[in-house]
Amino acid sequence: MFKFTAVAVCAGFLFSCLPTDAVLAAESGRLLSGEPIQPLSVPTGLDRRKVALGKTLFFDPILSADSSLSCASCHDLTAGGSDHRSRSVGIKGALGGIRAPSVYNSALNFVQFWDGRAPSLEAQAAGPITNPVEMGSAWPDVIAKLSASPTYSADFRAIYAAQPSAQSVTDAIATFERTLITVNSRFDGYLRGDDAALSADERKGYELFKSYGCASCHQGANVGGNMFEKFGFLGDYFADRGHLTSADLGRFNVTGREVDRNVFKVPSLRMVGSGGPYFHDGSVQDLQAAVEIMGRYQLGRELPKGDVQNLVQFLNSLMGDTYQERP
Amino acid sequence: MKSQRLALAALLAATLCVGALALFLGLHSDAASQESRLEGALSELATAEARLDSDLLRVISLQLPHYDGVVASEWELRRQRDAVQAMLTKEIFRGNEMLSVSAGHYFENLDHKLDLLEQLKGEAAFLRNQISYIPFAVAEALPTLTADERLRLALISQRMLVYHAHPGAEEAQQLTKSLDQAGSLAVHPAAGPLLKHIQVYFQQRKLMDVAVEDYGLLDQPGWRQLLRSHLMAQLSRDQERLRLTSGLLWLFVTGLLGALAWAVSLLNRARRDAVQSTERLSKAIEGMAGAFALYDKNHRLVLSNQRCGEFYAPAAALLKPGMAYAEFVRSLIKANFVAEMDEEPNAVGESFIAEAGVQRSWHLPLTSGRWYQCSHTPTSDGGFICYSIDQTEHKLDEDKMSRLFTAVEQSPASIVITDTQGVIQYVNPWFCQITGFAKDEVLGQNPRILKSGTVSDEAYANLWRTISGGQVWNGELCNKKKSGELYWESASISPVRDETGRITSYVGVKRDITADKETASRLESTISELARSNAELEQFAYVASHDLREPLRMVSSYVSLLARRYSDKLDGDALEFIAFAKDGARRMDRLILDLLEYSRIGRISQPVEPVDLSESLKEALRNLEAAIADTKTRVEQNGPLPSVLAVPSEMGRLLQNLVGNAIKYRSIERDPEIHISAEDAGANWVICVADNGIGIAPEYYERVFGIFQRLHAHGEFEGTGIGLAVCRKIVQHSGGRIWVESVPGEGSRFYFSLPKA
Repeated sequence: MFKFTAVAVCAGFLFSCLPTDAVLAAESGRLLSGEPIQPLSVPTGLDRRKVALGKTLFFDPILSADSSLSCASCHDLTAGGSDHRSRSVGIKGALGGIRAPSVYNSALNFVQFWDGRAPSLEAQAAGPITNPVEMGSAWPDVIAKLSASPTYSADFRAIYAAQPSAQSVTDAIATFERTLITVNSRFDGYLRGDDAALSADERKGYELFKSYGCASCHQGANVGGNMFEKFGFLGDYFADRGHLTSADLGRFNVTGREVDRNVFKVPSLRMVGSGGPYFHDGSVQDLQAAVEIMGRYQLGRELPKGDVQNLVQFLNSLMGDTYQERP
Repeated sequence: MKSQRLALAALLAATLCVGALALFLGLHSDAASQESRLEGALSELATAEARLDSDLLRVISLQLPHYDGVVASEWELRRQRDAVQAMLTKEIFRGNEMLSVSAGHYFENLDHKLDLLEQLKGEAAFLRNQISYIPFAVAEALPTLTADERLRLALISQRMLVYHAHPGAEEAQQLTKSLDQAGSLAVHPAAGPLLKHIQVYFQQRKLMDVAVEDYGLLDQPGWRQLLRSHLMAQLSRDQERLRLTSGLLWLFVTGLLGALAWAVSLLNRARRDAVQSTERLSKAIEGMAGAFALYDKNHRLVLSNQRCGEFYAPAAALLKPGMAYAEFVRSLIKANFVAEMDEEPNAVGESFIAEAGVQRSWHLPLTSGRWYQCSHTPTSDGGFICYSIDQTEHKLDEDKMSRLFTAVEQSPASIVITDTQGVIQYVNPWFCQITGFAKDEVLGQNPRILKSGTVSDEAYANLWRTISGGQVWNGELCNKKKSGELYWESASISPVRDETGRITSYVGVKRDITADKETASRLESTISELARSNAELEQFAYVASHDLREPLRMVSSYVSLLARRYSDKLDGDALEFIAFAKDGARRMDRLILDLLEYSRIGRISQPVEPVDLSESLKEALRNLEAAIADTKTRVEQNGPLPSVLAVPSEMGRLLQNLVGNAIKYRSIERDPEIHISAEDAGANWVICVADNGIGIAPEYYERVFGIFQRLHAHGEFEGTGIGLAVCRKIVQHSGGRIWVESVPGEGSRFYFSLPKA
């Protein structure tokens, strides 16, 4: 009897998530707004000229001090939007401090960087350019190099009616990055009503994702990226891992508040299927191991192997069209 | 002048005030509009905040499946906040400390709010996590528990639920108590972790509630209200100032406009005066009789009048302000305007250019024959005025005067000019030469110094009367030279009047007629001699005509008588002899008559008058009627004959002689034809009498006109040889000419010319 009550109450809780706006998926009648994950849509309203200029700049090593690195060096659009290293390599072989996140869908993040110090894509794009261990440039030099180029000079004049500036360079790059949305994933197809888009295991994986509560933090269209959370809620991840770095302090580096220690921006899981290493420290190469760690430290549970497998299968189904596949 | 300056000063001051006020107004209105915009932006920010608050409620209700909506609101709020912060410029604050402090607080609060939001998102996520997990954990653990454990677990679960629904202190206490009383559950392999989860949930829930409380304590509305009130206060103050400023501005603008109007009227008046004086000047310059041109110190034309263009026509097109004097002169030289002076025109022109601006005046002869007098006068500012007048008349007069004077001086007649009192004012050199007096000997004297004493006083008195009466006196005077020698002169003395008609002087022109006089007296004596001899000749002719003819008549008649009475007694020879004697007598009579007639021609008693030659011809033909009929002569008139100035009877005689000759000297081979025609020869008529007779050889053309000259013997043709001589005398007496053209054997043409009537 108590069991029944408990189940009933819990069910009640579950079903008490009343939707506020009803969005009906065309085929299956699934109420999208009730789902923690929303499908991605192709971005609209972006200035085509800025996108083209941003794309050119994204691939152009001219932004780095020794012209050896471009944005694409660490955010490889053909390899899932990152360099798959626990620490990126900057100019002259300098090692960065943190795992470079994927540039794909980064437009959907509510802030940029693991510690959320950049409020926008534009602000983020300026970071690596002047970071001594990344591109190591200074804005005056970058602007001089860009102004000296007749094509860049002409493009900037045509679009921004001025010579290249920090503001216009980051604006162009950010505009280009806004186009990097990985639409057409199988999971999005499932969300839109195509039940056949996912296999039974993948569907099971999604259910587990929700029931385990992964979806309480990894939610929204970007499956994450819209809130801060402490890494190691129900267990001390850092104590167990050891070798603390300043990067591990997370948001504390920005706000200085104790409550923000080890607090990071919840990363998007859309591109986890493209390969590791995972977490801000890139400590785990294998997705299954990452899921297990998440279970342990965020949920306080050891997840069964079968469930982990299903979860991994589900996570792989989140991969959508990347740059090489798009025309 | 002073009023003008005052007006300008007032204008300037007013303009400056207006400018300052306008600036002030501009700045303030700008600030005021900024403040209103800020007001608007704050309202929007408030709306965004409210939206966020509602989103937050949803977050803490643990009802949101995902946070994308919340993030969107967050972003909107951040955007609004940045917009408002951008508007909060120093200008807005303007030292209003209350305003800046309240604004600071407001934004601090806002940032705090956003931080709390992030916190709450995280905590809510965890709590959702737990809430969705705990029931399953319970379900899993239940089978492995004992009944007692189940009861305790149920209690804990129940208490947790209650706390979840009503997170009050009492409920918290209850849950804590039941957790403390967990006992063996804590170490149960399945329930242990579950309890741990519940405890963590409990802790987190407390934290969240604290955060929510903090959020509630953020009296954002309060701060916003404060900010708004301060802003409004400032705004109203600014608007008040603005109203004042714009009022002042209007006042000043009105004042400015008034001052402007006044200044404009002053300027207008000044301009009118200037225009008027310029017009007067222009009119004056245009009205000048001469050509006026004003040049500035660079020898460039400032202004010229129309006459200048008329005077210097070749360069008229150049006469525009700014024209260079040198250009003007050179174009005139090039157009060959100026006639040759001492030097050739180019050099003259260059000297004019070089010396322009120097005070000088000169006479300019033009190739057109006219004369200009040009003068250059320098002006005070370094320029010069060039004034030219047409001197041609004056020059002509001058020339005339000089010519006149020269003529008088050199005239071969004595000229004496006296004043109205008879005092000599001028004598010419001829006078001196004639009279022997020197010029200065007679000037100031009276002409009676020439008195010879031979002229009566009455004659002199008459002279004076005539000339002082305004008449011209013509006469002869016998005067005395300086040497005492007497001489005659023919004098013409006339009064000279001025333009009013008053006699101002007398001029006497005298010609020495002493020689003439002698000639005249000689002539007189010759004339009287001639008259006497003429009278003698007349008498002789008369005598001849009567006294000579009478014995001849006697001879003739008695011979005839002899023939008649004794014809039967005389033989043939005797009769022939008698015939010869009669014929001889008859011929002599003829001769005498012809001579008489010849001598009559040209007597002064026969007057000259217009004579119609057609009539004269008719008369002549009448007289020759018998001869014409006998010889079957045809007389033709080629057109009407004109009238000439001659003696009528002589004309008849002339034509009769000519026609008679034509009949007489006819050719035996043909019938005589006579053509008479007239030709216009200017002042005279030339009449031609043409025949088809025997003609005259050219060597005899002159001889035929001689008196008693005949070309043929008596036996051939009749005549005394005086006919053509008579014709010549007649024609010559009338002032004409007579000649002949002939072709021997074919005919002759006799021409004579007579003056037209």
